[in-house]
Amino acid sequence: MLHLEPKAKWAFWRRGLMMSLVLASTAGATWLMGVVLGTNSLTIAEGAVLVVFAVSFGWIALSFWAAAAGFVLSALGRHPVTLRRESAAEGLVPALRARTAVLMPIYNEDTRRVFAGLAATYRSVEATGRLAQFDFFVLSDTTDPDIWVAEEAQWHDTCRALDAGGRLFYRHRAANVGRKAGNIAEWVRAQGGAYENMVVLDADSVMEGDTIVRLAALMEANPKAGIIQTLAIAANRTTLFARWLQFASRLYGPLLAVGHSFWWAGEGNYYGHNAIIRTRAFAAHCGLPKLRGKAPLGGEIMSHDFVEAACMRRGGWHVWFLPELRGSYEEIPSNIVDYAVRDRRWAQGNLQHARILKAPRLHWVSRLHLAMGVLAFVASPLWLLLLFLSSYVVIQQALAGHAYFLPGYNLFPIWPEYRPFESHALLAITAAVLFLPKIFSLVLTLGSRARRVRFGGAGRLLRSAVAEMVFSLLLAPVMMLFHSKFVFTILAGRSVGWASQPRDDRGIAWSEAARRHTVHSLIGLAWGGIVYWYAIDFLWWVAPIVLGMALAIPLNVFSSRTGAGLAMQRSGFFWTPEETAPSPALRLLDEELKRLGDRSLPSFAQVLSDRRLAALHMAMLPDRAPADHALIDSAERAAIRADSLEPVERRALLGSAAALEHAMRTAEQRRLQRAA
Amino acid sequence: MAPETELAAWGDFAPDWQRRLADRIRSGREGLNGLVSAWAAVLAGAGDRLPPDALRAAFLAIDGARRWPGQFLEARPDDVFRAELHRALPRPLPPAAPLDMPEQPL
Repeated sequence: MLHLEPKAKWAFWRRGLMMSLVLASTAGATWLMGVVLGTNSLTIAEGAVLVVFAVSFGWIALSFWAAAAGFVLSALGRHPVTLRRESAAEGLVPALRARTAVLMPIYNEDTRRVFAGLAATYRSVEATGRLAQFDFFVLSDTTDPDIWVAEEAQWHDTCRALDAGGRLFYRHRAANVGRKAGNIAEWVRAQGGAYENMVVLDADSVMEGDTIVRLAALMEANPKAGIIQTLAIAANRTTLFARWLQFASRLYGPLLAVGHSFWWAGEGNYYGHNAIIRTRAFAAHCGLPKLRGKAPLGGEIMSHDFVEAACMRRGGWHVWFLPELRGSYEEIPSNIVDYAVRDRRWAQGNLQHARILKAPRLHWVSRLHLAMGVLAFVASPLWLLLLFLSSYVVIQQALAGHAYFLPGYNLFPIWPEYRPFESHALLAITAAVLFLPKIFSLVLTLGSRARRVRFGGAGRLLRSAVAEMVFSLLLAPVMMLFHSKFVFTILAGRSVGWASQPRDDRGIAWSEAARRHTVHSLIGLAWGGIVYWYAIDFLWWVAPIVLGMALAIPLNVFSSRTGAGLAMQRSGFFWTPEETAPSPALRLLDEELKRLGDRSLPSFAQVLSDRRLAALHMAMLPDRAPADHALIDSAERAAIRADSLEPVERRALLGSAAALEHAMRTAEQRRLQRAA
Repeated sequence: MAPETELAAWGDFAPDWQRRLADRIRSGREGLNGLVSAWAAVLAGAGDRLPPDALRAAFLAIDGARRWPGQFLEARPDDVFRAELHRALPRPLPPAAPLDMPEQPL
């Protein structure tokens, strides 16, 4: 078994190397930019360009050097933490001593998908022969009464189908206090004492049993490990957008993850799911308070995962990131709109982290994670500012022409000076920093027959990579505008809730795309038009940006189509190992989805008429308190017409055994009266 | 409440079974609730507890009134019935195992 902890002490040298490379490359590129801009002295606008460029370049340089480290380590076949030729994913399935809980917190999710994913994971753990050490919990914060009833029924069916009674549990919270973090904290406070570890899943997660068992064994072998995060692979979606994103993250993600794992060492990060956590350490150090003030920057902490990782590290526990542990899957939004909506929530959560940066006794790498989370969204307005300023500088020069003489008496003119070598070097460096990480991944994949075949072979891989690059170029400016807007609206005090993410393949209608992107397209067209009019030579430089904005509406509609995704699949584009050779857990998920696909799910109204559902629901209810007048009133109205109740009344009725019994008795009496 | 009405909460027994069970409930002193508690204790086994609500949910889930009417309230239930019933028992949560989780300063 992999022993990670002795390597924690080498982290200082690894980070020293990484930071030196990032700082040196940023300083070099900024110097070049300064030379290019300041050949004839620097104006205020050019000075601003230089500052924004330095920050933005530093941001991408960090990813570049992480990818470079990942490339070297992967090419040499070395583990990113131990630097030996070993992997946590190899060897026999280990025996386990400690007990682990697998938690799936849910909130108004697609019930079939939740239980299909959980059943697939359960069956996969069972197949390892280590099931005895695991219990599974569905932790529901669902507020929709119909979904609540469906979840209970589906949970019961799943328990019976898997013979998992007493091992697969379900708990419903009446109020989702603290959102997902509060949901898990409530479980830790009530049940956590019985489990050494907890594996946290997302509603769309699936994990191989082998991976879960190895995670638990790693916790036993590394007693100072507080969290071990796996690299969750995006899979299972079929729209063009999703297949493109799945391909990109599958091809390029692992290399970057290896690089980050190398320099993060024991101060890694937690992404909120598909990770194992030491329960007692989590309880002792990760109870999150509310931030002072109101949302969006105060109140409940939305992106809790980064903060929990920082708190865990502050408590003296290590947080490891092991990308070699495969068999960890998640699903992604199926279109640009849902992707942006998810980013809007994340943006709010990450910007909150700016207030946590100064929290006492955090490790500096934890502070860096939090700062990088902030910068992940702030980088967009910075890039936008940089592009606007660059266009402004160029247009200003085109309009005013070159100033040969400064105000006052000048003996000699100032001749225009150009630095073609520096300009081209800067362009080459920026392109390399942006595109070399992709080329590193391509080289590694093409260099291995097994990997190449899983992506459909060299031909399909190469043309998919080219298509991916075109698609990325078109999408990046749209996301830049989205993120910029998010940052400004959050800073202006506008908050969003944390609704459940649509987890199916959702096509976007032209009207919705037009509503979302008209402003983007107008910005692109106006920007392109102005540059064309005043500085046509500069148009080529901004063309990819304005083109992406101008084409946002058709790009969104077309890429959200399942038909387009499948047509591209038939044409040999964006194949991933999850499509060409799905792992056992993904095959089990497919089986479970098919099994549940044609089953109808019960709803609130059926609880009042279906004895079986009502009995199940009553057996699950902890609240046996007498019902108050309002509940009795709701119960009597429900007995006459269930759909006359507001959702909040339905939820309250479902939460009270006494009121529900009253409703059912009343309904039965009415039935008997009618029969008489 | 008439025994027939109480029995209806456990499913649709065939008329002859319903009559027989209703007579048994009428002849006993403790009523249906008492008989169910005793039956739950038998089904749970020594040292265990089987809440009547969970028992009813499981009995309804396996369609016990139609498929196993003779096992209802039976002092020595059949092993196959017992196994099927246990498989259908809703067990929402294991016993509590609380941990203290204090709020951290940020």
